[in-house]
Amino acid sequence: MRVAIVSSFMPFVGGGARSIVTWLHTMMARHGIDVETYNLPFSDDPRTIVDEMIAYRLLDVASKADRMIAIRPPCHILRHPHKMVWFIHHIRSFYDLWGTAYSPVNDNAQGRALRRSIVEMDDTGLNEAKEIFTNSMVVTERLRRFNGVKSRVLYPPVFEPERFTCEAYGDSIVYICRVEHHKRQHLLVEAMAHTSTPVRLTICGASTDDGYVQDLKRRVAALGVSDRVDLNIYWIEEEKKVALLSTCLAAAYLPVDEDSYGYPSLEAHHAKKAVITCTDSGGTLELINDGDNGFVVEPDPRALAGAMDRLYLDRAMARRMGQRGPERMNEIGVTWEHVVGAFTR
Amino acid sequence: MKVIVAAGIRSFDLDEVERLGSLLAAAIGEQGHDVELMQLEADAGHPARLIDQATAIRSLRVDRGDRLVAVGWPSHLLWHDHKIVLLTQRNICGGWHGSLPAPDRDLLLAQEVQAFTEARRCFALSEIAAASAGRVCDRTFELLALPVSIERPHAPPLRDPGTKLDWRGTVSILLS
Repeated sequence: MRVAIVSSFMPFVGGGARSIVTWLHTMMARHGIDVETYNLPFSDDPRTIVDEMIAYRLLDVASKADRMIAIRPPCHILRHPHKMVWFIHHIRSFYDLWGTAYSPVNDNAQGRALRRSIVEMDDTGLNEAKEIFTNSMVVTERLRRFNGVKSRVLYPPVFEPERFTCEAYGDSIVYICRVEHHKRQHLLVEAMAHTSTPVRLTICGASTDDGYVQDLKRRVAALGVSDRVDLNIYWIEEEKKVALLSTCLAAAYLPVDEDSYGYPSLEAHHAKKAVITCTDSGGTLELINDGDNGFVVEPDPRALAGAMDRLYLDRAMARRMGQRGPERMNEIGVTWEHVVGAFTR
Repeated sequence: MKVIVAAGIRSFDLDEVERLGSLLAAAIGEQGHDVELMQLEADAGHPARLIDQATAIRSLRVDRGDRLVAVGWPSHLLWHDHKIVLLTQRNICGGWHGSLPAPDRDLLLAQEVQAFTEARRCFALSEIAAASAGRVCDRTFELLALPVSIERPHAPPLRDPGTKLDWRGTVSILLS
């Protein structure tokens, strides 16, 4: 069977969507499937988004593939006689983030017309698919609510999880992902001013938002926590990530209404580390149960500080929660065998 | 430097242009540049769909990267502020898909000439490719030798056998 994986990307911007494509390709090849990947550029600039989506609609890809798996939007609007979709998020500024500070488009007649066009194009592409999978119940529910389509959850695993080990439960909470406002690293920085223990914070990740990075640095200085906060604003190597997770106390992942549980949560669990998340973090709540394999707290610096202090003071609890991580992933069926099987049955 | 290498590929058929794109991306990465490889399908399902394919490629936006190196049709149709065309013989002006109806071929040819014209530099891997492009497009196509020989089934290999360049030299010329 010939399978083509197609996804959109922004050159030189990493993230979970890039990883899922690379890992799916590798795992399918390891299962003996003839697989080919296309990464197509997409800017999601509101000024050009309709032209770009029409381009996707006209584009021929994977013409000789028996199946096409469309991942990052707007690849689901590509045409293929056997299109399968692994829908990982909408172009959210036109959906659940419409009318919020995260949407760059005004809620006026022109903006609403643009939004309607995008929803209609999405509806068309999705309704052509033979099958639609999502990466979380959150996304499945959004597809039902906004596009009226049914989908099944197919949780994306991480690549070679055996790379992750647990050597110790140290003093630091690590937050490893892109440094962007909606990932809310600033909440953890502010939380550090409310902690009553010497707990440390390590933030790692690249950013496309210089203003946010400068704001984080200013907050660290203004709050007088620079001796306990380590900011690494770049894409860290896999080896360094593995080492950090191996020796940290626990991990944090605090996005605003995230589409899925996020690879940072899974990677932490593979390293047997608890995860701190927030009540409004979306997909992470499908993985993290409060008091079981981590803490689910209000998106408030004091609440976060409380969770950080509790983990610092009770290492036995931190260990117990961390060791629940792999069990919890098994409970919800996060395996590559399951994923490859779903696309090739 | 951030460099995007865009290559036209044939679905499930590893041909010389796909190989060249991969080799070039690897060589650019080995020179310490940040490189992304992007692959675009060259063989639209049916020749009649080539105009759709070309129009779609022209409408895609690639607004990142210090350089975009376009290898083989249809990648050279991409817009980029600093596009470098690396011409193989897979292009409309070289007679590729010569079976197209004349009006379609003329449209595609005009689009291709436009794409060459807006490029910062154009290189060709053979005198034949340079000459065919030069006949329809008023700009210079510099000959570039490859440090490896890339075999082709029905044509001479993509390489000037007399070259003394290694990949470092080739990358340096391309990105200068």
